[in-house]
Amino acid sequence: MTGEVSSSTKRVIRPPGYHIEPKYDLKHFRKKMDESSERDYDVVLPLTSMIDMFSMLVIFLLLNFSATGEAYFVNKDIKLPEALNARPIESMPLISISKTSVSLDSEVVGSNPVIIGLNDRQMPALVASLTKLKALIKNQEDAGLPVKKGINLQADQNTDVVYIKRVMNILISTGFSSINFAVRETPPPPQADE
Amino acid sequence: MAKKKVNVELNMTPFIGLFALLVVMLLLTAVWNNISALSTNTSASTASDEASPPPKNQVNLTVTILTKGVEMAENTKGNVIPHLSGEVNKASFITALQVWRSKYPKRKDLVLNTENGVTYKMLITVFDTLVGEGWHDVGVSTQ
Repeated sequence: MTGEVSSSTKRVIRPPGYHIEPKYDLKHFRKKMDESSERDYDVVLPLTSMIDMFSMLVIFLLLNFSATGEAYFVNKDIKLPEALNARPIESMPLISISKTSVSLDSEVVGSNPVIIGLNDRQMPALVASLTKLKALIKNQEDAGLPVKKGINLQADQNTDVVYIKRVMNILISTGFSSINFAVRETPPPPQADE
Repeated sequence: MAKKKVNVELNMTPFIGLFALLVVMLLLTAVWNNISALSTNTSASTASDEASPPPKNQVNLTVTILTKGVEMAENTKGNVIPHLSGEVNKASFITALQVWRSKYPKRKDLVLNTENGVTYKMLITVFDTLVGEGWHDVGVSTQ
């Protein structure tokens, strides 16, 4: 709105403008704020790449899918040997034999690790644990529950067979005659093209 | 007739929801360690009251892993396949097993013995080869 003032000097009245002194003015911030008010908020997210990523993830995970839902724990000290013709492992009590210890179900048998030495053939802690386990299986069997009577055995690939046989003897003497040797499954070698 | 609108936008929300659920479910059920098992029934190879004795005329097939080689024996007579640079000579072993297979086409059982000094890896290698060649009923001797 403009108008003339009746005085000796004529002044034009203008609408007030930006009046903050340059000293306190945040010029770039003001510019940004002015621009953001004009920004279009109706942004379309590009979903194609996300769906591609999801599809690949789903395919990859489907290849690793297991319907059995059984977990198997490999002791960090144990490197399993490889085999081509093994069958899927079932969930059963697990005995791990490493160079220094024997454990039953991820728990070292006895208060101290059982030293695998030829002078310790009896392994009383292992026998006690297996006897307890056998009694538990029998109770389940008596109650009419389905039980698996075998045992899984895992050992480091460089362990001497004498240690395995010693544990196997104890297993047999405590009534576990079905023993499954855990191995790492290797894919069959590719067939040569003819 | 009204012109049909062709520029249709597919609603992706349920797809993304489904995919997200699938990813979570599959992550939970994924198996990162491919662990399998080679099974043996030791009662067949050790002294047991329940084990039935083998037929009288049946030949006892025995594979023994020695530190120097693999011995394959029919009853008592056997021949040794020497190891190749510390490992089982798989090719010769398979050939010998195929000879046994042609000789005893119906047999699936044999006893696997081991010398105390051999490694578990060697036991598994021989066991795996036996299963691969159709000898599924392998009894591991603990003697």
